[in-house]
Amino acid sequence: MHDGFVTVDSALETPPYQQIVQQVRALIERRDLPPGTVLPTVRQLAGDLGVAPNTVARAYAELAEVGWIVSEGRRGTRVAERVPSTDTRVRGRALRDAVAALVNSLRHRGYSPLEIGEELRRHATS
Amino acid sequence: MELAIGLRWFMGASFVVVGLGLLIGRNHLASDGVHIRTADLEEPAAGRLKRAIARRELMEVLPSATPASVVGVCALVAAALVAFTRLDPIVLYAGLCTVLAMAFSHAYLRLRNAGTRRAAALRVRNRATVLPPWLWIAVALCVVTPLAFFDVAPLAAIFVSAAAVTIAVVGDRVTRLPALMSGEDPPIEDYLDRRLRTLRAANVVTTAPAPAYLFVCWAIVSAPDFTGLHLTAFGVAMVTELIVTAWFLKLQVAGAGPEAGRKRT
Repeated sequence: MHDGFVTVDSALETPPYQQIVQQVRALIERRDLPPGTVLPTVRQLAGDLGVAPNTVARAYAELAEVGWIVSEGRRGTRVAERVPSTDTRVRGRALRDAVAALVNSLRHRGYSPLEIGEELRRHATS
Repeated sequence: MELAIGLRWFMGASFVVVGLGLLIGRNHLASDGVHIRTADLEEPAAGRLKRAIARRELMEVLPSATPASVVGVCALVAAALVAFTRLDPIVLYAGLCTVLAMAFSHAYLRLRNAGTRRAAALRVRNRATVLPPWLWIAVALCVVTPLAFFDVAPLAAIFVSAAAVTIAVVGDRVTRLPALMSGEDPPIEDYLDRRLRTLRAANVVTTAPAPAYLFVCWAIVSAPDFTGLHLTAFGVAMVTELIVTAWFLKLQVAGAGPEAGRKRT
């Protein structure tokens, strides 16, 4: 069983659909969501996150457009078998998304930007 | 005549036992903590799980003892009516089953509207991932068995069956409740959500056959003569009730599970 979790923080400046996009992409990039993994329906994820179904539908549409996920109609939505990770531009974007997701999560837990920055710098250079 | 008096006393006593049981255990039944054993877990898993339970109880505004109290008081009122009036006990029983179904529906609505949802696991969820498919089939068969005794007590048969069906439907809805996670500790909150969902849905779904089974027991004793349909309905209700109860007890005995942390050996 995979460990893919998504959180939405309405206090952040990033729109909720963008938060979902960033986190799902980061999970796929890290292989926490392996290729072929069936994702929850728009309705289920919207209910779980307490957001409007349109928000999740927009996030899924954006992810599908770039090729991270594939919508198979009634069979549901899956993580694409070939994720666009070889492209340098995409790799850079995935890294930004992963860091953004981590920072969002830490901000949500009450850490200040300064604390997060110092810790990230220390880990990156150690 | 003696059988009728004996049944009346039996029904009255049953109402008292159910009423007192629900009133005494009203707070115990409502808490999230009673569903999850944390004693056999080691730190830090036990601490994380306890904190997740506390957060969840705050989000759900638990404990709420109102539904159990209402059903308990109604059962005691029914017992008094059996003792002091000439009302047919099976009609009172049908009324009590209806109140029980309403209490389950109320509890479901309260859970559906609870808390602020912030986190989600990217995992597909449906009724088959929460409870085994055979359970749904068994319960679906059992909840309609009172209708086989339509010739014995038509109104009560309809009301009891309708109440049992309503409870089963509430159980189905519980399997599809949105996850309730604050996002502070998603893995443990996800574990807690799945465990509570399974236990709550199982609690509701395995309760559904009970009103039908008790009605069928009363009806088979009260019926002037049995038909093949009566005996088949009784057999289905009895076997279902036994299997479902045994399965639920086994589920209750299971601990918090390896996902919540390493167990003590």
